[in-house]
Amino acid sequence: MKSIHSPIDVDTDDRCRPVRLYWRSNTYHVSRILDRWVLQNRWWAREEKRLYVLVEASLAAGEPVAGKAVQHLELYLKTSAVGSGNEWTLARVVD
Amino acid sequence: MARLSWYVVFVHLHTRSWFSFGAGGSSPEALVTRAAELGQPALGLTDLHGVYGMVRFQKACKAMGIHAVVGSEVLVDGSPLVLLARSPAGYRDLCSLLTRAHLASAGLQDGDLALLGERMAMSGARSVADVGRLVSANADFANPDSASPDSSAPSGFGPSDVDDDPSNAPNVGEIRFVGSGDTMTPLNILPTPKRPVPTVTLELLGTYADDLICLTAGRSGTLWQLTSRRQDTAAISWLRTLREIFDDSPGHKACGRRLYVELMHGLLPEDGTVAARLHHLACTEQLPTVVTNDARFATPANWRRYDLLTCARLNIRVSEPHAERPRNAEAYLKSEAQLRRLLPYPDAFDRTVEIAESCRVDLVPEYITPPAAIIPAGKTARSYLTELCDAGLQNLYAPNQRAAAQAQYDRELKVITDLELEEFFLVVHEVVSVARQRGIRCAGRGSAANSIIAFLLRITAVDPIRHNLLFERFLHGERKGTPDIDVDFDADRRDGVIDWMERRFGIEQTAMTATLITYKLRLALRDVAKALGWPMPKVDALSQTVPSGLANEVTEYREPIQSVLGDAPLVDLLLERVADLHLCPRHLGLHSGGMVLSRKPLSHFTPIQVSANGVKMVTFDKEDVEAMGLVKLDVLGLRMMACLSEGAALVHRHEGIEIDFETLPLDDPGVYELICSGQTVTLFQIESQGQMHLIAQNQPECFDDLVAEVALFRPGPLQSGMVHPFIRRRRGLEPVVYEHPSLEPILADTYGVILFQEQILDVAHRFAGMSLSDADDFRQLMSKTHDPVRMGQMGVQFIAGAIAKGVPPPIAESVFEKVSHFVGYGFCRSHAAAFAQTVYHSAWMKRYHPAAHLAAFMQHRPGFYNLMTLEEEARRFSIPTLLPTVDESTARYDLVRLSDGRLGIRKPLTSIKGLAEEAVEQILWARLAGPFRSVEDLATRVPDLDRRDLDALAKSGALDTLTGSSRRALWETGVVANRRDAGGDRSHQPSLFDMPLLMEEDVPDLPVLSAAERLSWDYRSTGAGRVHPITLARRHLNDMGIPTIESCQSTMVLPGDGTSPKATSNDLQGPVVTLAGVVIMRQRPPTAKGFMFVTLEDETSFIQVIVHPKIYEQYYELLIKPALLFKGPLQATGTWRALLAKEVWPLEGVFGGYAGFPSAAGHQNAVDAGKQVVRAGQALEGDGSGDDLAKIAAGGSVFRSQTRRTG
Repeated sequence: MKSIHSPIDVDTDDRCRPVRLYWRSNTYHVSRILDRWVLQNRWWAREEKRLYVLVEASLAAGEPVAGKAVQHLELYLKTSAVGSGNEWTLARVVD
Repeated sequence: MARLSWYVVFVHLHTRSWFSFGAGGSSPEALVTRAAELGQPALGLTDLHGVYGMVRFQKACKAMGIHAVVGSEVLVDGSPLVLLARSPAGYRDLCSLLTRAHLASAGLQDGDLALLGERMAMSGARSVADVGRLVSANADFANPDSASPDSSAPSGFGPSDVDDDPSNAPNVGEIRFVGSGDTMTPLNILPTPKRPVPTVTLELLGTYADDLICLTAGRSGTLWQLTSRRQDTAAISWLRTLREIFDDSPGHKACGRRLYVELMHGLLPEDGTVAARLHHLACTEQLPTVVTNDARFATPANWRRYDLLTCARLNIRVSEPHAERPRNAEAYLKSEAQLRRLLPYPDAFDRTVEIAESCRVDLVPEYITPPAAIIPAGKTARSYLTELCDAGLQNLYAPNQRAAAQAQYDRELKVITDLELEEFFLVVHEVVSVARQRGIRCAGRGSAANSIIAFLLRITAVDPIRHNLLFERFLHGERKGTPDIDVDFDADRRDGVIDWMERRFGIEQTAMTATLITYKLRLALRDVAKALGWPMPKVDALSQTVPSGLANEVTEYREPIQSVLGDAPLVDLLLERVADLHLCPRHLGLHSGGMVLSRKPLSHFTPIQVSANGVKMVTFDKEDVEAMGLVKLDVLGLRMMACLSEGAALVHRHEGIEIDFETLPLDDPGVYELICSGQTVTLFQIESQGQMHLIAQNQPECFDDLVAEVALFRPGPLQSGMVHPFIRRRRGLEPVVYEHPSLEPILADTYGVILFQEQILDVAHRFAGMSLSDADDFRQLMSKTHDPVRMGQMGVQFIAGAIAKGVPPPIAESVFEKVSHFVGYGFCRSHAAAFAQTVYHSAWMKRYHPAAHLAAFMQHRPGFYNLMTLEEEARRFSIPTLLPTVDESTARYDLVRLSDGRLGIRKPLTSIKGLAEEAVEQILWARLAGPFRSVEDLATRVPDLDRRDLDALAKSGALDTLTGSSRRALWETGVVANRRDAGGDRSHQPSLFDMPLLMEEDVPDLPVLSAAERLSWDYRSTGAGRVHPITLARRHLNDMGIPTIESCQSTMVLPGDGTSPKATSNDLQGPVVTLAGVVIMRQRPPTAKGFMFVTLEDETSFIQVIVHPKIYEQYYELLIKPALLFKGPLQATGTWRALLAKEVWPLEGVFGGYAGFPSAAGHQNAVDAGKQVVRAGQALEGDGSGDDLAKIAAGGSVFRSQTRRTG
């Protein structure tokens, strides 16, 4: 498991579910959503709710293989960003 | 319950409310409202460790038309299971289980409730502290780490007798967690230094499981934990264990399935995966599943409150992670659709409805379950009640009065019969009769005194016909619930009454009522500030800046709060969160006297817990107890009762006169003369400075005046501005007017003003045409809750009703306006009348037997003046207070006949600080063999007296008769104790050949104690000096032209003939004077608009000093000092005098002068005298003990806190 916490470009469907993501110059197709959860801890600091998904993502056809072809990636989206565009953060890469 | 609608396929069955005490975030009412909004026809409430909110929950459910499912989250071997009651029997079993869990938590075992009662009865130790010691001893045995009888429930603030003082806030149990993040669970709950988490064993669960349904619990349950760690074998084993308890017994099969695997999804990592595994496991084991959301609050908006309460309970800051804290806001009552998207198990949804349908428990029936009275064979409750009342009618009413009494009696009897309360009255009659048979003084008070039946049964001593009391204030045909009957007992012997009641009605049928302690402003501010991370000194300072008030009023105190916290960015959040805790329960306390008496064992209604100080109590407050149809009798301890009993006993012993208070006529002019003279210190209810002022204005001349006097000095009449109109009208200084003729019969005897609660009820009923039930609600609204929304609604109803009865609209509105100003607490006439009798009796004692009265008063201390003031009062009545002496004093205040024939008060050995009660007992036992001849004789015959005991005796002067002086006594006790203890065997009996422990040459020439030393020793020994501290400064005060306080009586010449105290009701302004004294009381009541009242005492008298808010701010630093000089104009009404402070000096400062300059008095002796006075004053405030001094100290604290707020 590796902590990343950096912005990531994600294409979503009409229900805001990730379908495709762009990471390390590669395009990944989301083949499965493995888990989803919500974290909202620091309310006293007005911290926003985060919507997490754990996805199984595979390299799109023709993409050069720089690492694993299938990755388990943990992404989150702050609630204020829902529907406003590409505000996803890649939290962790799960081994 | 009708079958739930077919289209409903989900019910929340696992839900906590804020009655989980720090482990739930919404009220039961909010949960029910949310369920109704979601269209759910049923809801389960499963609070942690109890059913504390169940009555409110069921009431809310009934109001919303929702079916209530009753349950609780119970820890079984340390991890939770959700248990739902299918039937009343199931609820009884659940209560029994919870009782045992809490008993075990308190260090008690099965059957210990009975044992507790017996031990207390045998030991005669029924004081709260004594019981606490018993429980503590047991707890210690079970758990060596569990030491404090003041411990409280750790998980959830829980039910414990904790007062509002945040320093008594319960600690949290130490819980060891297994796992990480939100998957942590309390698998092993360690015993805490205080009370551990209530838990039961699996074996015990099996005993009570017959009519319970079990859900395996959510994330913190054992099954979830094992499954999330993929320990399938262990999970299956756990399930089979539970199935053995809930499903597999042959006797149980007929009951159907009662074990359900709980599936939930709280939108946390792996929730979906674990739920899927649980579903699979259930299928494998052929067990049904059920969906819940393990809800902790009603809506996401309540999540912050839940988290904050959790932090407060765990005593952590919000920035600290903890496994019990929520990681998101998803544990709310979700809609069925929301949950179906997360949990694709249709069967598990269907099961929720089936379970809800099968659970039928009604805790709020429409009938009362009175305790069983003893009814002679061949009689019914009604016939026996009638027989007793008929006898009372013959005894208590003259023939010419009986017709009116009989009519009232018949009317009441019909209401009582209709409500089936005959047995309740018989039971109270029995309790009061048994108390009297045992010589325990008692008197009914409160609204019960409105009832002629209570009077005929001698439950109360106030004749409702004679005093025109309104029965409907006590009881009427439309009343819901049981009436309140409060009985005051001699405080010293109240525990004996409770012991008897436990034996008479059954240990399982009796327990004390709980009191729900909700978050008020100070406590909420404290808990929230702590959780938000402010350091404790700031938190302490913060809670001192606000008065006691409601949490939702916090925004009114933004400025003082900011003065402590500065412009911290979290201040807004602090205010928001504090307001959000309004009405939220914090913990349970013990009701002061409400004893529940049940016909059936209380386990049918409630779990029983042992309070922090060892008293067994139900887990509901008095409103809930009433709603359940249970009957509560308020068994109150009144120290003035004990004082009267002791005073009468002293009179009998020393004067040979038998006093029967109940037959004393209430019209003795001598008694009213004493009261009107203002000498009311030690009189019940009327000894405060405020009452003295009122007495000077009102000049009560008969018993009815006394009733009004008691009722006038209450927040209700004071805040509604009705006191002065009442007095002026009574004195004929202004005309009596009625806004409408229909008000005259209601208000005639109070000169057209509203003084009593009954009058509000009567005005609402007769003037505004409300039904008795509505009028009673209206009365309660005015005097208790004063909810503005309800006030508005009631106002409309009131005005419309009055108009419908022909009252012109402006008058209807005006009357409502006046009634609505009767805010806050006011007495009902019957209560005032019952109290006025005790006022009269105390005044009668002081008038005719002052020595006995004052001695008894010093023994029981029912008032708020300190011992010094009481001894001064005795001196003013020419009654000397004699030092304790080892030759003559006993364990209680006593009287002695002096050589001149007067009676004096002999202080007891127990009045000596530092001398234990056991030591006093041993001295008294040893003295039976003959008087002590010397200190050596005392030390030898009472070998358990150690050096400290002997020194305490010596310093107090108790050995002066043996040694000639206190200083010599102190020397001798030192020598004797050292030599005796050096021998190693204190109990060694001296023989002829032993050397004496003390010889004459052992004692050198010792200087005589100076007056200042004597005063200091006196204060430190017994809390009062043989002379008043100001005596030491009098000569220097004379030099400065400062008069005595007593001289203020003659300083002002009153109008008229100059002698009549009744010349005017107004305060007259007099000359400017300067007075000096010791501050014996400071008061700054919330109704006083910032004024402060200081009671200043010198060796001649005391006087009230009125401090204007501006003077208060200007001299704040001086006003907290113990001895002061005040300068200002005198004010007078009758014999009452006050000084309106314009300038203030500390006594010490005036005597001491300025640095480098001589003192005002000019020499060193004056400086020393000032310092001695100040030291005595400090001893009075800081070194004193007992309630009076505690009250003074409390007054000081309020004073300081309010100063900061306004300053």
